[in-house]
Amino acid sequence: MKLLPILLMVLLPLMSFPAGADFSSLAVLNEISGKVAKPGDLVEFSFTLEKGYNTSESTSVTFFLEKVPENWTAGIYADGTQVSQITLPEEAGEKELTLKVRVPENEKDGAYPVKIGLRPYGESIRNYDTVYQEFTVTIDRNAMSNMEIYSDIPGKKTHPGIPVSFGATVENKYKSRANFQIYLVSKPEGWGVDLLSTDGTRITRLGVPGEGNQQFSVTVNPPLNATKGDYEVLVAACPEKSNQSVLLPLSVTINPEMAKNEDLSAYVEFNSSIVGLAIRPEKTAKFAVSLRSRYDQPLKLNLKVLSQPEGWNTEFVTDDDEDERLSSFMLGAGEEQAFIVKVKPFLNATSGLYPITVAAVSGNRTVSRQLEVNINNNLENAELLKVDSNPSELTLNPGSSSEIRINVENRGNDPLEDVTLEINEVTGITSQIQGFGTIEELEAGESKTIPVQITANANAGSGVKEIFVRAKSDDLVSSEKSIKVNVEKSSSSGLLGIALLGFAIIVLVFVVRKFGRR
Amino acid sequence: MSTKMKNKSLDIKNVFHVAQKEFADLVSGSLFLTLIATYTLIIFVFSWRSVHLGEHTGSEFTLMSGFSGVTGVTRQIGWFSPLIGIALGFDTIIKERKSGSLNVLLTHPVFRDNIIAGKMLGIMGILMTVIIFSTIVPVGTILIFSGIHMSETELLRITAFIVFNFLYVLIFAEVAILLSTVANDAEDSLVYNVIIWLSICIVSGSIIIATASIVTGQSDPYELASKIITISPLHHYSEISVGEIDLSWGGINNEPVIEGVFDTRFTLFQWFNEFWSNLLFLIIAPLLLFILSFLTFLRRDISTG
Repeated sequence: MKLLPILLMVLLPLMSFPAGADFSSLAVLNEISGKVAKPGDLVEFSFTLEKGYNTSESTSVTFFLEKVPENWTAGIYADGTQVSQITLPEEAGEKELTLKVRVPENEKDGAYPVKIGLRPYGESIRNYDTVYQEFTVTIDRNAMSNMEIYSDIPGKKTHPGIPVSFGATVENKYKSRANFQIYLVSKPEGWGVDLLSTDGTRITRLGVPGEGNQQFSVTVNPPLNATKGDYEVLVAACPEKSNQSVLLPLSVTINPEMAKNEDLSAYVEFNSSIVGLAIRPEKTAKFAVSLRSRYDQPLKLNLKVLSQPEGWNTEFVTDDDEDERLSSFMLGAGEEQAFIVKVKPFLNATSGLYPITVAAVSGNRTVSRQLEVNINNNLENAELLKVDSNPSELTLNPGSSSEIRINVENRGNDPLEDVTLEINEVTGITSQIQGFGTIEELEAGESKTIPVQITANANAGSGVKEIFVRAKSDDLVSSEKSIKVNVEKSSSSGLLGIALLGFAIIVLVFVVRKFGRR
Repeated sequence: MSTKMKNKSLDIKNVFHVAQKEFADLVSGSLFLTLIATYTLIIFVFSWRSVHLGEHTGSEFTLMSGFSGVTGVTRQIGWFSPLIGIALGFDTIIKERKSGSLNVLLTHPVFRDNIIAGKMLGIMGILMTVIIFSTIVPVGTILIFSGIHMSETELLRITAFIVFNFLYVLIFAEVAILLSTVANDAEDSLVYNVIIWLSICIVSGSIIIATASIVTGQSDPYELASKIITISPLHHYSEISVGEIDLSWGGINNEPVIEGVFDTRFTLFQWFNEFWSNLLFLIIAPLLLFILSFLTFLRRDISTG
């Protein structure tokens, strides 16, 4: 036993030590020298190359592959570029490098060593010892994949004919960027399935950054005749140059009906920030309302007026064009549709609060909203549309007529379309609007004149008769303008008639008596 | 020369004597009084009706529209006024002939031409009296019930209407005198006159349309019918007064541009330019009939047999 230390002291200096940092100009440091992979995988090993001892001089290194299994490919990469030589400058003591090894797809399971060599060179190098570093790749077909494909919501409910979309994510666990094939494995017969990128184009492959992920979507379109039930759509992702696929099962449930115990209000919100308006009876109340869907499927909604006071008129119009009457529309999942409810009161409505109930109807389900119009005759009349008559009083004999001129003025800031005159007639007086009686467009601030023929009928009773004229457009009704027609029977004409009859009879009697035989 | 002038003056004096006698005979006759009373009543009723209906038409009602238009009295005047002419003329010659008074009259220094001219003048005087009276009645009625004014233009147009209404009725009076000259007794003359009145004033339109339809084979033979109807005095009266082709029952309809003398949208000159030919007919027709009656009477055996 006393000889052992002496023997070691003799033998140790004689042993050829492998190049090490302490004794070589180079040192290779790495934490992982063995990895598990599948055939076709790209295996990467990171290692650090540093100067082996205290030197400030630059050091150049040549790389070479000492040992690589047959049909394998490998390379050393620095900063993403494959390199064969590098130089560690004076000020830099180390460099991060990567060994990339591509495993053939038909490689058998087993452990495969890959050995690289590093040899310093240059004028300042006095020690040309080669440094070797060995890595081991273990091929195991049963190993976990280096990728994942998943969907946050892999099961959805829809109706026949209504597409449903699933978001999906491919996760790349490789350190380097990899391309993956995305493909449809199976689907129910007659169904449509589209694999779409985030910008909506159809995809077959997906590039995913190393240790990153990439999203795509799967749109499933069940046919109209799809029956109630659960269906599965199978999508798969597979790394290029590999036959190892990872499956993503998606579940689609066809349920043509909503829950029976739920009202439409459970799925659709009928909102109106203003539910009550006070107006004069000749004005129109406009309520801005909206329908917002909470349902995950598109809904067809019909708009209806459930109740309104007699003689009132309620319409649904769009925000953009009030000439367009809304009757129904499709409300997409989660969408909101804004529109206007126009309520035109009965012209002779008295002051008071009038409720109007409007509703959106889908099938036999209804979501309703009550709106209130407060008719207040005491409100100041803005007189945006004004009529005036020239003259406003006239005297007519029975059977005679006279033309008056009705001036219609738009005092508002917006042009008015299809302004028409309305005349409330009384017995014995007939009015006839000359021309078409309609002003197609009346610009803001503009006024136009419409002639009206007023006729007192032949046997109209004597006295002052009052007719009322007002102008009306789609949105506005003017206040009524009174025109007084004084019907005067001409007493002189009556006397003249009596005188004529009397004269005729007297002459006849005279002629008979004077010229007739006695 | 002096003798000739003296004879002519005597002839005119004789004519006026006969006319005065005829006028006196007619005006004091119960037939005339009954006729004028009935006719006046008819015109009065239709005048009141035209005012009443004016309320419902809604259009402007004037004195002129009381005469013209659908509700006016012109149509009724056109139908019934010829009866006055017939009533005055249907027995004017035959009555004298049958009673022998014609022969007695000829024993005086009165010639046949004096007699026929005087009778016609007398009848014309009566007719003018009746026409003026029967026009004043509707004017007065319309003024009383409607209270509307009568303008000078309307007065002028009513005067014009009296004139050509007189000419229109005179045609039937001349026809009646002619038939009175040729007929054997008064009853026959009356029957002939009534037939002519019915044919011209009441059913002429229907007869003409039927005739034209048979000739042309068309269901609506407007063109031919409108030509045939020009022989009817009612057509010319109708054109002048209301602008329509025909006023008879079931007659030809048209839409005139100028609605006769009562259409105040047009001046009387425009009216004359449009209807001068109709006016000419109403002037020439009684003149021709007068000449025809005159010649027939001169050549007629006036013995009582």
